[in-house]
Amino acid sequence: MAYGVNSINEQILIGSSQTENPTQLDTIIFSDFHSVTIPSTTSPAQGGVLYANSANGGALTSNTTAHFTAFGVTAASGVVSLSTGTSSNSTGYASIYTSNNILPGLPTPSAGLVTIYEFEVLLRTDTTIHDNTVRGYYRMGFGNSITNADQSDGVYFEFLYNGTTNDTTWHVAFRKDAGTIDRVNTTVTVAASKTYRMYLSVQANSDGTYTTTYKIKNLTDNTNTEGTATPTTTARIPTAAGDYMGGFITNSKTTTTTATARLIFLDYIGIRIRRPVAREILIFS
Amino acid sequence: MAYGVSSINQQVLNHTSQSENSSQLDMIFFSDLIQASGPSGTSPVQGGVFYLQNANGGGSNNNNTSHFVGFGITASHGTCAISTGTTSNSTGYAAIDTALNILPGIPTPSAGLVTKYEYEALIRTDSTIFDNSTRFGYFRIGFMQAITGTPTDGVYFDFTVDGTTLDTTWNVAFASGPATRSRYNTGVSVAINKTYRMYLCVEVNSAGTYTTTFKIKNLTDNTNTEGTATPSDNAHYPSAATDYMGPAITTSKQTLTHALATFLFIDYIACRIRRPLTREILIFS
Repeated sequence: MAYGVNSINEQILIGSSQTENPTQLDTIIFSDFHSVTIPSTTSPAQGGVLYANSANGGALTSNTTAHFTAFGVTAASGVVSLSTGTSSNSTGYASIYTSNNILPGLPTPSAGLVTIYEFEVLLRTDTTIHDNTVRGYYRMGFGNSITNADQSDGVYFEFLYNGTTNDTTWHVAFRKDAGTIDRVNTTVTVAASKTYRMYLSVQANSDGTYTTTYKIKNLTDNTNTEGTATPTTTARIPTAAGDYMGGFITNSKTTTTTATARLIFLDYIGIRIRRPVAREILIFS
Repeated sequence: MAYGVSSINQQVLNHTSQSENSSQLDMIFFSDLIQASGPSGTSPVQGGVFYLQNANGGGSNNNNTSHFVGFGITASHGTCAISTGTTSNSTGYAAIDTALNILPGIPTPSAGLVTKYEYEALIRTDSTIFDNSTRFGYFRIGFMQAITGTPTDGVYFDFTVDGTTLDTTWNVAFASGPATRSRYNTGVSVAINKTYRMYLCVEVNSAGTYTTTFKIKNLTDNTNTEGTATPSDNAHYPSAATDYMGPAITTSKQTLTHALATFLFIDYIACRIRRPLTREILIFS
């Protein structure tokens, strides 16, 4: 085995690429949010590539003991909260994201390979969630917006309450080139004071077949829901090379002015990417 | 085993030392440069120890989609551009480097061991490079004690056009003190709009024999050149304990005042170090 490496991937996988297949990128981005200070716009969260973005009163906090307790001290390690803030507006938001163009639209791999974009987060809702009085949304997955602007390209979980769309469950949303947002209802109820492990996988095989799977585990009630989300047309899946995306999670107000904050708590974010990349890194060989 | 994961500890070994030999340091630095912002002089690049140094108009640009396309979206993952900037001067520069004194001069190990300093980067030249008419400057890649001026100590790839030195090819420069230096011509042309995988390895065995190998793969033209670079005198190797160096990649204007920015695009940076170091870290044992 090459020196400097005691198992082939271990040292270099934080947000880096390493694969035993030189035509394929395998990379993991993970943060357990143990950082003393919150992820900032200039200093990455533990994990090295996850940043915060917030505006209009939105804010983040890191490792507040009340949030740790809410998850359960034996159920979480390191927490961060995303708050829409108490400024009187309809635009306060907070997000955590990677660069929003490190991933091309879902590429079709060559024969025998597969492209998989996976996003996972352990989150907990606060004692109140977005509703008709305090409107807003939670979104997480892959997209190209790191603000409260809608995703032009993306595949992501969504819980939206804006007076027109009044979700009570998690949805999987598909959008390409700012076109129609195509949503699939997972039927998993979103409620206050619940811990959810949210997992989303979008994959393409070499014959151009796309499969989006989700796994939502409500750890508070010990229920697990797994399924496949399919848009009404595959044209809603961001597949072009120029459909750049990154991993993200956003909590935002929308539509109606309010000075009431809505929070969401995160224990960890994990992102795993497998996609065609033909390069050979000598130092890891 | 799941892809992207090979052992439970993978997250903690980035750029830490790990060795099965308690008298030797084995260490890897790697950045795929996928972070959202920066790099900056205060916020490390993904990988945790790579910083930007720039001045006099020089700067950097992260994950610009046109640079991603330049490499090819299935040939790279995360990019960073360093630029000499458009300020009218002869001094604009930008570099990504670790601290420039983390490595001593290449130490001769005890019997049975070897010292190796390896540096690798996947880079791409822009549509213009340094030339002898309007833009003097240099690209340097490898181990060096300074990222501006002429490094007193180092072993690095060098492409310099300054009116006196008029490189058309990649050279390997050796320096141990201001006066004891020489260069070795690899014969590999440096041209515009080319992607190069640059690999440099400097090693010394317990008999005090130095070997410097290079591998330059021009992925655009699919040519690969490998060879051994030798200084005109072994005294040009930075081998004294105080010949401190660090891994760096730098581009700078030189000699002639001009306002023309010259870019160097980087997909990843990797360094692997094996050198004598006597310590035992219990947590890794």
